[in-house]
Parts: sequence; C-alpha cells; structure tokens
Amino acid sequence: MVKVGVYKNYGPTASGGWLDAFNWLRHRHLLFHLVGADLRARYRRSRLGILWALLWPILFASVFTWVAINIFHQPFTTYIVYVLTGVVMWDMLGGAFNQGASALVVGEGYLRQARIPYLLFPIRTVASMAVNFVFGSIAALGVTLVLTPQAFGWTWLWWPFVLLLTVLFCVPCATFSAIANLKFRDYQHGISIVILMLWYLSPALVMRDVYERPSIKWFTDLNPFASLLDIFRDPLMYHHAPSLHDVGLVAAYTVVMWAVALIWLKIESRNLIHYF
Amino acid sequence: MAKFRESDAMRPHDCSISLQGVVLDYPLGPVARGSIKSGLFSLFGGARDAVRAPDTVRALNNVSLSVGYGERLGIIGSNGSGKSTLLRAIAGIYPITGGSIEIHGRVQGIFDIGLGFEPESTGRENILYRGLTMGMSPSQIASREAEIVEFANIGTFIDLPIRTYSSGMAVRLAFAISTYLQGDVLLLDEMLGAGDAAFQAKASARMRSLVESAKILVLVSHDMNTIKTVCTRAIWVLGGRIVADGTPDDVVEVYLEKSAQV
Repeated sequence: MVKVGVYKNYGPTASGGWLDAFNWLRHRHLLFHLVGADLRARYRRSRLGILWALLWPILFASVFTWVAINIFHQPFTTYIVYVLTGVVMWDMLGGAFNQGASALVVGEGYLRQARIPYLLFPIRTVASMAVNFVFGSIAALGVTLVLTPQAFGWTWLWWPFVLLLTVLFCVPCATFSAIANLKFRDYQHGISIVILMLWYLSPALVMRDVYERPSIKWFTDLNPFASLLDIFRDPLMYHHAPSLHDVGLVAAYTVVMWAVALIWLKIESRNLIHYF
Repeated sequence: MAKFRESDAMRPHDCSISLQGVVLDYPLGPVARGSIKSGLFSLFGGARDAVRAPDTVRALNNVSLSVGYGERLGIIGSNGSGKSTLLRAIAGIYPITGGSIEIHGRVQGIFDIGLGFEPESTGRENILYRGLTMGMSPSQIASREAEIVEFANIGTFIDLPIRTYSSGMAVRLAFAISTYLQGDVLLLDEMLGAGDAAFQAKASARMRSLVESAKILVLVSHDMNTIKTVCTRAIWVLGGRIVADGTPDDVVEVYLEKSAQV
C-alpha cells in the first residue's frame, strides 16, 4: 500500500494535491526556453542550423528512393513523397519512445533542485521533436508541390489536426518510456529493439500494399503507428480526409496511453526522485 | 485554497513553514535492487541464503515543526541523521509518506550548486533557466540579470556556452544566480564555498546579506560557529527525529556534549 503525506505550498508556485496535475502549465516559460535550448544544442556550431530539419528528410528520402527505383523499380515522384512522409512521422513516433526514455534522466538537474512536475520533461522532449516535425512537414509539402502539384488541395488543411493528434499520442508514450527507463535501466536497450521491429512492421518506407497481405493485415489494422502514417499521408498525398478507422484507433490508443502514463506517474512520483 | 499572485505583497503571517507529524520513508529498492544476472542466479538457488534487505529506511520520523516570519533556523546533527532529507522534504523535492507540510511563500533551495546547468546554453541563458525553475517570470529574472553578471565577474564568458567555463567560473556563476534570484523561504544545505580566495570573501559578504534579507532561513550545517552566529533558533536531528529545539547556543551545547559521550 502506498503511504501518502500532504505537501502544500501556498506561494507563487503553488503545488500539492490536484494542482500537481496542472502544475506543468505554471512552468510553461521554462518549457518554452528548454525546448529552445534543446534545438540550439542540436544545431549549435552547424552552418545550416535548423535548416537541417528541413534538408535531412529530403536527402534521406532522395537516397532511399534512388536505391528503391533501381532495385524495386518504384515510380520516383510518388515514392519519394511516401518515404519523406514516412521518415518525418517516424522521427516523432520512434522518438517518443527512444528519446522519451531519456526525458527524466536529462531533467535530473532541475528535479533535484526544485519541485517541478515530472510531466514537464516528456512534454519538453516531444515539443522539441514536434518542431522538427513541423520543418519536416514543410519539406514534405514543398516536395509534393514540386513533384505532384495535383495532390495540392483543401485536404492539406488537415495538417494542424495531424500535428495535434501526433503530439497528443506521443506525450504519454514519452512519459511511459521515461518512467520505465528510470525504473528499469535495461529498458532503453530493449525498447530500441522493439521500435526497430515496429519500424519494419509499419508502412514507413515499404509500400502500403505490402501491409495489406492477409498474414500481416490484422496487425496493421491494430497498429497505431500505421494509422498515424496513414493519417499523415491521406490528406497530403491522396487528397482525402483521414479515415474514421485510423482516427478512432489513434484516439483510443491515445486515451489508453494517457491513462496508463498518468496513473503510473502518480504511483511512481513518490519514488522517482530516488531512482536517479 | 489560498491563492497568491506574484505581485502580492508578502505580509509577515503569509510566510511560514509548518510540519505536522512528517514521516519520510526512503525507498531502498532502487539502490538495493540486484542486476538481472543476480536475479537469474537466485532462480537457481545462488541467493537462497541471502537475508532479504528492507524495502525502506525511515529517514524522518514524526517530525513536527513551525517556523515563522523572520526566523533563521539551523539544523544540526551527525551524518545520516536526516538533516538534508528534512530540508529537501520542506522544498517538496522528497515526497513525504505521512503527516503534512504547509509552506507559505516562494521556496528557494540551494542544495547542490553545480546541478542544473544546460552545458550547451550560455551563462545568460542559464540565469534565465534557473530563475524559471524557481517559478519566477522572465521579466523578474531580467531585472536581476545585470547584478548577477556583475557579481559573477566572468567577463565575456557570460555569452559563451557553460561547457567552455572552468569549474571555478561555473561555481561563481551558480553562486551568483542562486543568491540573487532570492525566494521568501531560503533553504541552504551547508554554507557554500565558491571560487578562489578573492571570490570567497565576496561570497561570504553576499551570503550574510542574503541570510539577513531572507524572510525565513533554514540552514543545515556542521559548522557550529555558523549556526551560532547566523541562526536565531536551532534544532538537533537524530535518527530522523527532532531531539532538541531551542536557542542556537543551548542546542549546540547539548549536541556537542552528547556527541562527545558517544
């Protein structure tokens, strides 16, 4: 049984009781600046700076597509956009687990100095990745406009919804991953293998019809990563709104992940400081 | 629940610390947990005779304490007695397992001066982050930035990443930040020795003025002279309990007397 004492602070950074669940909002300035610090750290001393967030997915997709054209004889124009969107979305989804695992570890200096809500740090990690996602999306939109201008249309207005849904899905995943990594130091090694496996089981680079084969279709239908990739591509590449199945599946996983992450955080919040 | 805005003037009765029957069990699980290898060995009887380690150790045991506006409380005790744990419980960093803690006022803890720097960010950026960690607004921090930069006296390094600093420079900046971004309730774990001899004298003077201007000070120290000169009240913590509470002279005398008998 978990024993609980009561801590209340009536100062300007009030905390305690139910306030803890919303306390990260009081640290929004810190969150904003830490995300900025993460981005500066990532691109510091680089001549192109954050432009790499725009260029890297294009260069990766170009190289991969060139290989695919020569080996698998894929059509260039649609396949490069397919790969580009796959890479950009996967950076978020895989990153939520892989980079999310370090979210609390890198926040140790803050958490050992002051009473700061733990949730702030997974949000920081996802927010930093979301900035890259925005730049990657701009790259994907630009390449689509150049190579397949006929894909442009009102369905592109779905993009803010895609971003919101992706972030809402990734934050609890990163929170779960951060707690698991702090509690079980073997976690980070294990999760990287699981994410690599999911990478192959999700339509990130390999064409979508492969995942419709009977042997794997049941998994694809239940795979939120596959649904998020579809939700990203449908309005951008295929000129139709995301399907109800995909949105419903991701929404259901999001609700479940939030419940799991918040309950686990609540249970472990009394011990996490001792795990560093 | 009482609500405070940062612009609200702090009245004497608004700044206080109250602990009622506080219990803190420090979980040993993270420390005592074995590796996967030892877990596998134990499956085959390798650890059959091992005595099961306790899950927790009681670091604070039924601690009740009230500290009012203007008080400067010194906490003394031997190593492992629970002094620093008590300080971190008051700061809200260590969650308590029983009782209650009620704080009125902005808490500033100075526990580990080197902790919490972003190495790739500049000194100026780190001033901002440290202030935001304390719950200050960017404008409040900006109003103190010039003083911090001047006190740290690290010249143009202030606009370079922290990773380029010598350890002495980093400590000087951390000291300046910690002592200029002041809260209402100041929690200090040991007096801080920072930088070279010249900076030490400057730091001592700054610490004295900080201590005098804090609305409430709680200081953990092994230096009995510091406790006597700085504090208006002292407690002796032994085995997670408060065993003496009174004037610094009286408590220090009892502590030294009992310690000598052990």
